[in-house]
This record gives sequence, structure tokens and C-alpha cells, in this order.
Amino acid sequence: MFKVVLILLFLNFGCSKNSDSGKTKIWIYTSVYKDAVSAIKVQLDKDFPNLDINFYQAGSEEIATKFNAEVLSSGEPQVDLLMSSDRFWYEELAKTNKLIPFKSSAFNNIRDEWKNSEGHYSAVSLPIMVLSYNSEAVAEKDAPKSFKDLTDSKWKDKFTSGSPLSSGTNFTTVAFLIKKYGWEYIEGLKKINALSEGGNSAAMRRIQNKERPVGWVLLEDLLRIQDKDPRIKIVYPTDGAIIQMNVMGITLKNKRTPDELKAIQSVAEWFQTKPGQEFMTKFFLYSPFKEFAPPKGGPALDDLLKNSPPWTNDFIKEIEESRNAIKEKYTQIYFK
Amino acid sequence: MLLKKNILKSISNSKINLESLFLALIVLILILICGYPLILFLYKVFLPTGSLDLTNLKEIFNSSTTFISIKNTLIIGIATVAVSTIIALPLSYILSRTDLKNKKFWKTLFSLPYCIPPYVGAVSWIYLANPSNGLLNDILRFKVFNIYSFIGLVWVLSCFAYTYIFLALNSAFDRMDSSMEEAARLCGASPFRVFREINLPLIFPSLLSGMILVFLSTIASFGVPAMIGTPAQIYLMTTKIYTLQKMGSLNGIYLAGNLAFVLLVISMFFIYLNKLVFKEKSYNLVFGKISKTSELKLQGKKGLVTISLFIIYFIIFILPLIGIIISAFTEIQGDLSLSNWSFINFHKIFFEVSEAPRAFKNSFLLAVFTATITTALGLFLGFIVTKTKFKTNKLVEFLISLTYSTPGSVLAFAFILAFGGRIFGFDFSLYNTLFLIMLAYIAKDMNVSLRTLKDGYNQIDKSLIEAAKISGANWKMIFITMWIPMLKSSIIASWFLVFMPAFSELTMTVLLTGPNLETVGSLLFELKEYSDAGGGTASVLSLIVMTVIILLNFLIKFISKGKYGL
Repeated sequence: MFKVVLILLFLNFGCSKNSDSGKTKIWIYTSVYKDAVSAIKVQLDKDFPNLDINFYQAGSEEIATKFNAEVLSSGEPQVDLLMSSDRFWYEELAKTNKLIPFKSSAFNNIRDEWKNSEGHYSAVSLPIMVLSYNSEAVAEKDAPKSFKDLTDSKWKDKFTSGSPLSSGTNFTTVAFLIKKYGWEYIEGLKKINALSEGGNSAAMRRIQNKERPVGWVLLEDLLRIQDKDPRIKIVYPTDGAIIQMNVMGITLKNKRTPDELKAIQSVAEWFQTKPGQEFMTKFFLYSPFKEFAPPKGGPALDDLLKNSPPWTNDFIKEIEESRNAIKEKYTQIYFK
Repeated sequence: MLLKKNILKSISNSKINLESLFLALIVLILILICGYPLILFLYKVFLPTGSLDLTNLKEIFNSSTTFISIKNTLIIGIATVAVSTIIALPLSYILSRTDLKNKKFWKTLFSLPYCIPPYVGAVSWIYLANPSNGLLNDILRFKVFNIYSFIGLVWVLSCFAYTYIFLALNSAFDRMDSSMEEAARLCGASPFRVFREINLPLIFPSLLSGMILVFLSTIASFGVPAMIGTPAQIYLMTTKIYTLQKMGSLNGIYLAGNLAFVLLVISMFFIYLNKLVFKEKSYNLVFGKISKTSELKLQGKKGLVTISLFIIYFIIFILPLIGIIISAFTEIQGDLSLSNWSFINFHKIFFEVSEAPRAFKNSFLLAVFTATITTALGLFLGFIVTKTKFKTNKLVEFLISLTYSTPGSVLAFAFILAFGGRIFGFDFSLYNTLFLIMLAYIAKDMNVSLRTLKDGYNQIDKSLIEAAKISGANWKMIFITMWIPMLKSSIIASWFLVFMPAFSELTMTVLLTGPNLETVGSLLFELKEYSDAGGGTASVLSLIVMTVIILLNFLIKFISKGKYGL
């Protein structure tokens, strides 16, 4: 019986592995949403017929965990190109020489604060954290205008967000807000009984179903549903939308041939030039390049940048080194 | 060495035979699947540079939130065991030992929550009983229910966890010889006294076994505590492990590994405690010929009992199901107006989410193979730990409990470490294969299988086997003609108990999956967290999972004329 089971297993499960087509295999791990990945893959397969391009799509935290597991198990990762939103992690990867410097032809057109000066990583697109409310539960005149407003007692039991303990973009938001308003801000959120759990989609659902009619969420999530659910309104906070970034970096792999590296660089180049950038804006993300229009329904990037907190090197260094301490203190304030 | 010693010493007539070699091979496979990944993981966590490094463990214990999380985890674990027992024990007794009509049907209904992923229930209970606009609060026009509370968390966990005790008790009651009960009743004992003095001592091993399963699964669970515990500001160990693991850095993973180790030690302590309780005791429920079960006559109370069962079932299962159905059929979540009801979320799943058919195929394959192999291993391992004196028996049980109580994300990480790169120094990798996912499922679900089959072995008196041996039957013959037929219901129960969680597993799969390896669980997670802000498609998928499992269950029941299935 065991023999039969084992034969069946290998027969069935073997089919799930990619067949070796003789093409150069490239692995991309990304936190860009699945519908965007599906469309991008179709185009990449057309533009790079000699490459076998594979995607692993998950949250930036899952990607980091998978990467670390791969490094620990075999000494180097399977992934060739990383593209996700946890910039502090990329800073650590750059510091520990796990990324190869690469400067695409468009590299110099990216603002300095959105890239690693040595080219270990650079921005591909910009997710942006803004405020939102459900107009069926909150009148426009009463809606919060800024992140600071959220600690007002009138939002008690009404505010939601993703959890900074498990979501990278929410952690970045909290890091910026602590920098700006101090830990009193988090204590203020605790006082209004803020519901911070899951990712941005979970927060979005709570705003939609009015469980918590006010929250901070990613602008791309809001722009996606503008036509379908006009009840959900966007507020561009007066104290500045928080600009985040999907950054891209090529991993260091000793076993890689020069030809393989060249192929990966050509794919990385693709993402920062016209075809790749058009996909980003099509799927409601902002391009870090000035020549690309904002996504449908979104304001100009320059308007969003006016009050947004800046990504300084000191800030990146400080947060990268104190991530654990920030989460620990947040936990101490927030939990029983 | 230990294994070799076992083979030589455990055989009564002191010579190596095929039986011992075969059983040793089974132990070896178990060590490879359950032991090797975790040993490698612990090695990397505690000896990152080759020498013992307890800095991370000290850092864990220097954090005040660690102690808060341990305290909360223990309280939630114990409270869930208590509530689950309160639900399962009377239910099981009524549905096994009374003359109530349609008992099999009720048993099936009350077993169904076992096959539903608890996170689906959490989503639904939040929809029904969140303090802001939960459907139940809206209907009552008063904030009566608050799911974001200690009671809410325990309630949702118990709504699913009680099935561990319920299924274990059903099996025990079904195998129990009723002659002692009849004798007690003839002597004038009241039903309560019969239950307390006859039934309870006999079913106690199964009850405790189920309670331990509930406790272990509760303290290791992540989905429900995250969705309900976090908003309720109840910080648990798995929440902290998840937070540390999500730090992104290798140090975060080491810290998570250290805390997972603490969780493991807690689990082991309770398992050891369980063993201490039963050290000197032996409980045989089957003594040769099984007489017809005598039933407690409910007489005029049948109607009242039936109504009570319906109310309990409505609260435990139907209410959350209604929540999922509303979510699946409404395009904009929370908008209950008629114009918002449609099949659009179903259309998306069937025609727009291209991964859905592959996810169902992969999940089905994984569940079938995991259930079959785990049950086959469990059958032999159950024999080994109950009927032999192998010195590795304690190790076997320890390893199986270890993998069961290890949080899924840590276990997945350990499997990538063990089989993702070089295996035992050979350049051969199982990374990004369904086979690796299946191995992780086997490691996680082996405990359920072993406990179910162990209960079966423990309930069969050794005199039957001794009689067969005296009659000249060899080991193979005894296994095929006696053990397997006598354990048939335990084998089938084990297969189902493994198949169902494997079909919708989420935590480990999220990390082990790769291209074309989507499963129903990973797709559901992906839809819920990243692709479906509306939330309706995740509910559709949940509904499909529930329907498939329930239909499969009824199909097997129909084919076997009611003998097998939940």
C-alpha cells in the first residue's frame, strides 16, 4: 500500500513543479496586489520570451520571513528580485550585503530620499496612507481632517487601522506619527479604543460595513472602490499623507551566472521604465517618476508631497535599528 | 543508537524479526518528519554561531509583555477547555446514551464545526456581534453583545474546539459496554449517579485527551486570537510570536523561535501532567463481545431536549453561517439593501480568480494524501506506543505533541530550513512542492491521528490478542484480521479528522506555497488580506469550503450507509 501511495504522490505532486523549459528562471517576490501581478506577468512573458519569470505574491512581512528561511536553509535565497513595501528591511539587507547594487537607466530620475544612494534598492511605486470615512455614518463636516484629529474623544469606538505589529505599511505610518507627535499620540489612540488589526483590506472592510466608520488606509485601496462604493470618502490629511514605497532590490546569489544576472537586471530595468510604470499607475499606485500621471481618481503627487513627512537617512537608520523597541513599547501601551 | 537498542531489547524473545524492523522504520520516518525540522530549527535558534547563545531567550524574558502574553494565553486556554467541556460533555452523553430520536443526525450536525476553519467563524462572529454595528446588536437595538472581549474570544474558540472533546467522547461512548450501566440502574442508581460513577470514570481518558487537544490547539492558535483578541486588547503568546516573526530581521525570527520554544515547554508541561494522572490507570471499554447499548429513557422530556439541542445548534453553527451567507451575497459589505444582493462575488471566484480551480485541486490532493499517510502512520505508531515497550515510545509521543503545539508559522519555517535547501548534505530540495506542504501537514496533524487511534487501542482488551496468539496467529495476521477491523471506526475517524483541517489549512501554507501551489487556505488568506477589500469573495470561498466538506461528509455517510463520516 505504501508503495502505491508513494508512487501516486510523486506522480501527482510532481506535476505541480514547473517543467524545465530551458529558459532562464527568475523569481520575483512582491507585495504588489495579485491582479496587478497577473497583468504584469502576461506582459513580461511577452517582452522576455527567453525568460521563465515566476512570482510569489504575499504581504511584505511574509516575503521577509520566506527570504530569511531560504537564507538560513541553504545559505542564499531563491528569490532574484525583491519588490515590497518594507523599506526598513531593505535597509537592513543593504547593510548586510544581501542586495546587489543596481542602477537602472531611470535611477537618477528618482528622488534621493526614495532610493539607496549606492543603488541597493530604489522605489518602483508609492503606496500612500491617507484617511477615510464612511459617509453613511459620518457627515463630511464632522470627518477628521488630519492624523492628529483622530485622537479626539469624538472618535471613541469609531476609528480603525491595520495593525502596526503585523502590517508593514501600518508600522511605517505609526513610526512617522510617533516621530511627529511622540508616544502621546499612541496613548491617545488607545484612549479612543482604536481598533488596529490585520492588514489594510481588513481596516477597509470595517469602514465599509460601518463597524468602525473612520480609519487610515492606503489610497490605492480607496481608489479601487471609488466607482463601486461612493459612500467611502477619502481625506487627504492636513498634517500630510504618509508616502510609503514599494522598493526593488536584486538579491546576492553566488551560484548565479553573469548571463542570469544580466537577465534579472533587464527585468528590473523594465519595472522602472515606461511599460512597468504604466502598470503601476493602472493599478492605482503612484509612480516615483514625475512624467507619469497619478492613478485614476488620485490627486497630483506634488500636492500629496506638500505636507508629507520626509524620508531622511537619519529617520530610516533610527527606525531600522529600533523596530523591535517600537513594537514592544506600542504593545505595552496598547495591550492589557 | 537508541533505536538500535530498542530493536534488540524490546522484542520479547530477543531476536530481530521483521515486525520489529518494520516498527523501527515507522519510528524513523516519524523522527524524520516531526523531529528533524524542529531539531534543526532549535539548533539555528539557540546555536546561531555554533555555540550556545541564550541572549535572545534573556531578551524575551526581559520584556514585560512576555509575561502578560503567557498569563493571558494560559487563562484563555483553560477557559476554552472549560467552556468546550461544558458544551461537549452533556451533548455527547445525550446523543449517545439516551433514547432521543435521530441521534446520528444530531451527532453529524454537532460535529460539523470541526470541519470549518475557526478564522471563518471569527469573521462571521465579528459581523454578528461586534459592539458597534453587529447584526445581533442592531436587531436588539441595544449593545448587548461585544465579541471583542475575553468572553467573546473564549466563546468563538470554544464554538469550534468543543468538537475535539465531542468526537473523542462519542467514540468512547460508542465502544462502552453498557452492562455495568444496566446493572447499576437495576440496583436503583439514578441516571446522574450512573453517569458519575460508571460513565465518567470510563470515558475519563477520552475526555482528558480531548481537553488536552483543546488546550494545545487554543494556546497555539493564531487566527481567532488575532482577529478578536487584538481588538479586545488581549495580548497572547502567538500574537507576540507573529509580531516578532514579522519584524523582517533574522533577529526577529530568532526571538520568535525562542518564544515558540517557551510555548512548547508550556505544552509539554500539560502533556506530562496528563501522563502523570494516568500513570497507574488502565481503562478498557471493550471486553470481548459488545452487548447492545442500553439507553436512558427520556420519556416526556424528548421534546424539551430536542428544542434545547436546536437552540444550541442555532447559536453555535447556524448564526455564523448566516453571517457568511450575507457577506457572500452582498457586493458592498454592510449594505443590506435589496439592490446590493447579487451573485457577483460568486462570479468573481468562478470566472475571474484564475487560481481558484487549481487551489481546490491542490487542497483536495493534499488533504487526501495527508489523511491517508497520517492515518497509516498513526495506526502503527498507536500500536507501538500502546502495545510495545520500545524505549523510543516517550520520544515518539513527545515529538508528535511538539509539532502539534508548535505554532504553524514556526513549523513552516522549520520545514523550509530542513527540506528547503540541502537535505542531509545532499543537493536535493523539496522547496516549492506540494510534497513539502504535505509533510508539514502530516507533522501538524499526526497528534490528532495518534490520539484517536491510541484511544481505540486502549479500549481493546489485550486478552483478545493473546487468544489469537495462542491460536497461532502471527503479527501480520493479527494486524489484518483483528486490529484493523476492530479499529475501523477509529481509522475512519482519524482519516476525517486529518482530512478536514488539511483541506483548508492556512497558517503553514502561506509560507510554504509557491507558484501554482495555491491552496484554498492560502487563496482565502490572499483574498482577505490583499486582493479583496470588499471581502465578499473570501466569504464565497469560505462558503464553498464548508459546502464541499459537508457534502463529502454526507456522501461518505451515504455510501457507507451511515457507518462512517462525522
